[in-house]
Amino acid sequence: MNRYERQIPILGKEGQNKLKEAKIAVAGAGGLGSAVCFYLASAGVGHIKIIDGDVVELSNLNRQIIHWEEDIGKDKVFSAVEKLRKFNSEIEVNGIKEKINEKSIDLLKDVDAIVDCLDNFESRYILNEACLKYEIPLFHGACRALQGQATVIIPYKTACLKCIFPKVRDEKNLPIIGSVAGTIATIQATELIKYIVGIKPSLENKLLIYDAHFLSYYLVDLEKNKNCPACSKR
Amino acid sequence: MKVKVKFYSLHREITGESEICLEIEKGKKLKDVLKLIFENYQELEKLKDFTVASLNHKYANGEEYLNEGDEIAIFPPVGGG
Repeated sequence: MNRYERQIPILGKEGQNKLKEAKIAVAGAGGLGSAVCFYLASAGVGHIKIIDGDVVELSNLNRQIIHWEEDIGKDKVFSAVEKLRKFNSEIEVNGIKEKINEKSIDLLKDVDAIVDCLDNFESRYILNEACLKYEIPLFHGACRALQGQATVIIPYKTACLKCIFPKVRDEKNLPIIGSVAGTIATIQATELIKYIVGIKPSLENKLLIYDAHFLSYYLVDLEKNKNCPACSKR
Repeated sequence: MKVKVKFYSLHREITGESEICLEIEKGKKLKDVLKLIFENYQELEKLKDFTVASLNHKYANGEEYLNEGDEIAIFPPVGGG
């Protein structure tokens, strides 16, 4: 009996080995990060690094399913690492208790891809810059209320986050539903699994807008902005 | 000529519309329609600088000329996670 026998027919043994070898960073252990972590661990991604500087609060529990009532007051990274190690003991999981900033981002430079599970654009822009600097693919996801968005950014090949959203306005305590975050997170995780095993991600240079209000998906073709302040100059 | 405009997220919450049809003159650009929308729905003004638009499912910068039956979508970047 093989833990991965139901997915090997899809991914192949070679693909499964690629997952085992993959080094992935999950930036943010919140609503998106919770589901992304579980699905990467369940798929057998061999090396997962989680970065988050926050502490678990009661109001997180409507969406951050990796944290439970007993974790309130604990650092999110340690709560997440603890769960994932129990969930899949065959993989390596590490946590970094840091907020994303120009310094801490360097701790992610040795990974094969980063999943953007952050909750604000100020940090996302830093992550975007770092992914460009170290040429690391970025699997972006975000949500608010009944809407979410996702895209896959391959440095210098596709539009970067700053090409797509040149100006943003961060909103404090925005409304969010766990299942909507989960929908976006599973899209991010699946796109990443495809990328690792060699299936071209469908969201390269495409922005997916998910609208749970009408259960609709809207795809927008993207292009690199030749004047982008982040990615137009190498 | 007629064009369709779809609203997402905050834009839909503010306008109360998910989709509208606009009658416009020929030769107009996307940015002209966006200007018209911001005039018609003044509460959208606060989102003006952050609004992202697409034309027929392609990311748009506003300089695109419009044709009969075009589909415009406008949405804000959402930032939660």
